[in-house]
Amino acid sequence: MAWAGKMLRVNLTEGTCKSEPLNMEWAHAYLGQRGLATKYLTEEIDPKVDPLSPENKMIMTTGPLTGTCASTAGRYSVVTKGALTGAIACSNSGGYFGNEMKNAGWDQIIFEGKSPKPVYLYIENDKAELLDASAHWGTSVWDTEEGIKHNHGDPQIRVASIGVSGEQGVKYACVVNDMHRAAGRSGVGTVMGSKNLKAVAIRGTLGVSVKDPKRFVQATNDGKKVLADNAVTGQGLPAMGTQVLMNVINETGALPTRNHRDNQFESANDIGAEAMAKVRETDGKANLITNAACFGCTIACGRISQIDRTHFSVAERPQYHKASGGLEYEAAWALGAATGVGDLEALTFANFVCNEQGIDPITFGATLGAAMELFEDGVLTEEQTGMSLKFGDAKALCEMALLTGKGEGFGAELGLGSKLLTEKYGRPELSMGVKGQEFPAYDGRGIQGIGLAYATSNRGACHLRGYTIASEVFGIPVKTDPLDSDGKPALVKAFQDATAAVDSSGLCVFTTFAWTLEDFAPQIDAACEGDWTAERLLEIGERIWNLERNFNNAAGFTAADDNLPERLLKDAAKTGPSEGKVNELSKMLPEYYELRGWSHAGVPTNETLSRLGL
Amino acid sequence: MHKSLSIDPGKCTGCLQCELACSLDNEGMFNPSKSRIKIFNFEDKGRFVPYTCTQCAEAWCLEACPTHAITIDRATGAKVVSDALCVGCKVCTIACPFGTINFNQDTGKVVKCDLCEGDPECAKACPTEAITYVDADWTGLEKMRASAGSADAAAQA
Amino acid sequence: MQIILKLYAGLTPFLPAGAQNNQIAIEVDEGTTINAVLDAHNCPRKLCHLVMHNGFHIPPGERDARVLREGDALAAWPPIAGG
Repeated sequence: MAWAGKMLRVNLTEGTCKSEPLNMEWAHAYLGQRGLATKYLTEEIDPKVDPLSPENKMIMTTGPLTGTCASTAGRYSVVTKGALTGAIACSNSGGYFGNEMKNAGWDQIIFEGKSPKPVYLYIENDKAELLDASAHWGTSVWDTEEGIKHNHGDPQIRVASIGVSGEQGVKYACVVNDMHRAAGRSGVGTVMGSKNLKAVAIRGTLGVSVKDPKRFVQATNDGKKVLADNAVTGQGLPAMGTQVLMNVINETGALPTRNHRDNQFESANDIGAEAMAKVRETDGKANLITNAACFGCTIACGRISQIDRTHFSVAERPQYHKASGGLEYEAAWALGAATGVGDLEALTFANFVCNEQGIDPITFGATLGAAMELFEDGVLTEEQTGMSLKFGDAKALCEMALLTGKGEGFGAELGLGSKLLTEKYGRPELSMGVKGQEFPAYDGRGIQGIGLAYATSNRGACHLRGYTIASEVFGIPVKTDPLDSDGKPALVKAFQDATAAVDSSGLCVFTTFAWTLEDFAPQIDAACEGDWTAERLLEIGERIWNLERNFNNAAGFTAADDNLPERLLKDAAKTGPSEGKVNELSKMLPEYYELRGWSHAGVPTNETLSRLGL
Repeated sequence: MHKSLSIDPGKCTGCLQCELACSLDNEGMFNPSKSRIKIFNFEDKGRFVPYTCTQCAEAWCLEACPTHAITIDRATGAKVVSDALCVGCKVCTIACPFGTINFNQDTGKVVKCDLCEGDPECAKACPTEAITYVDADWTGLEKMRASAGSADAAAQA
Repeated sequence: MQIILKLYAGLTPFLPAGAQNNQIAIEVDEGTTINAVLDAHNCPRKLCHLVMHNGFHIPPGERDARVLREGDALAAWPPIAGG
């Protein structure tokens, strides 16, 4: 119940698809999705494996609540050793694909080996087969999704695929489903491409059941009511989307700008939610068309927008005139503030291209920002880049998105990510990230806790591993001072553990703006065999966090990798309320290790491991 | 007095809670592929459109059925399929101009919206009131109210 | 004296005419408090969830006492979140 109880093992080298029973003992210890797939991955691969070798595995995984009527119950994750980071990677996506996989009767799909030629996996309930993808290799996510539906004459198939970037080895390729929802970070799509796996196409009609349907409907209705009554999830997010944060974070002096040279962006208001809703002078329409939901979501924070047809980016490219997904805040920040570009239509275009070709807009924008700094410092020249790469150049943003999406020209170098790019040009200090993954949209100097969350995130710099912004800026569940590092280690740990549990359930972490684990527990308890309480969920979250940490330690990461770039530790923020501040990581990190039950070297102690049953 | 499902695509977010509720009520499990109401995603236009049987007064499906398996529920006005009488010939699916009655391979019968005996699960599950269950004579009432409001605003300007 | 008033998201409609980019320079008396300014612009207190004075968060309990000075920036949002 809730879990389908079986998983698919696809050996790409041999071309075989095999059904296996799900390890239910593990399901009870790790819940599902992020936790359960990480357990499988860490049991099955050598942590030191090259992420792009056939020995790495990739798991597409759902949670026990995926496919049910719980609000936001459409999530799935892609778990693997990340191509961008070499650390454990788990990227979560919405849309409709996760539900389709669950409805076909699969909790997860493990991909191993490497196909001798491009293939896609086609699943129709119990039937699974690898099909020739040579006609789709070299085409975009958008064309692949349409093409596969056409192949089977079935518009109801759901598809997750990689674009050309994933084939070309761009280090931060995504797995994109339903045209514009993505398992976005850490290069999970790069791993997929290295296996010659172009797409996974599913049609599922078997249904999903739960332990106690009557109690489940009641519990999920209670949860939906909390979301609807909450001003953030009931009104703020559907109306404004995540993009409302652009001005908020800028006002707090924590909007990283021009590769973190600055911490406030003079054009923030031109690229945020308010700008998206504004009627354009050129065509009398707004950039924003409507909000949209993922499967089962009663919040509906998603944005659907349309580019101004007179804008230079699309004037000669009618294929981008249609409405599509975005901008969301992280993408708008990376494509905008991180590069200094204040042109909303150019950002929307670059975001469409990221979706079309399957590249992570956060890492792409941040890497372009680093390249722009190299260019302005004279390290990179126009001869090398093919065009001027000055901060704020909207044309450069659009061209580089197209090139990087296909791994062509200077786009192939941008496709390395900022760490390898800046190392290549002898300026590694200009890479703004942790463990090889670029920062998202909050400056660790102006918001102390998020700096620690970045430094300790198991998949490299990430806001979604412990979103302390909720407390430090929005006051959820309680307001803490973003400029004060006191108490932040405990805050970070609490967010990290709770999030790991939520990421394993099949539900979206955005519900936590209104829900606590006390709201999750009755829904999981009514759906899954066993007794599920908030305490148990939190313990599972902590178990997952330590399992991921163990994997990274075994992969060769050490405490020295729980670090931030010097720019955040030594170059004080220049303006706004955070002026003069650096991140106080060295003060927070020892306390964090202690709270975690880890040694000074960042290794979980035997006592901690046994307490968590690891 | 009968009621009708009233659909306002402008309010639909594409969450499919209606499909989940419909399938749970009719199939006993969460299975959007077996839902009698469907959301169509017109991706390029950014529009989500719920669609289901509108319960025609003179129903093509009912007229076409050779076994008289489709009858009118007097309490709700819904056109209801009797599984005992349906032979799965699918003539009704050809007759229906809107495509809202469909064959179910698992049961060998046709399925369509039956208004849940007057308490439609889809309307109850919709978080945005894109689907409501209203007076059958006045499905346009809210649209009229909105139009009246804007006409009045124009008159006052 | 002059201050900068910034209203965002659902508070945008409460900006006085002439505001651009969600902000406007307004004249206020010396000694004016945060709540006095927000009240004067008819911003419902329930909607003034996140209020920042020169970028620093001011909790509801301090908004009656907090006095603005020449050139200060006052920004307000309804309940919001994102990520």
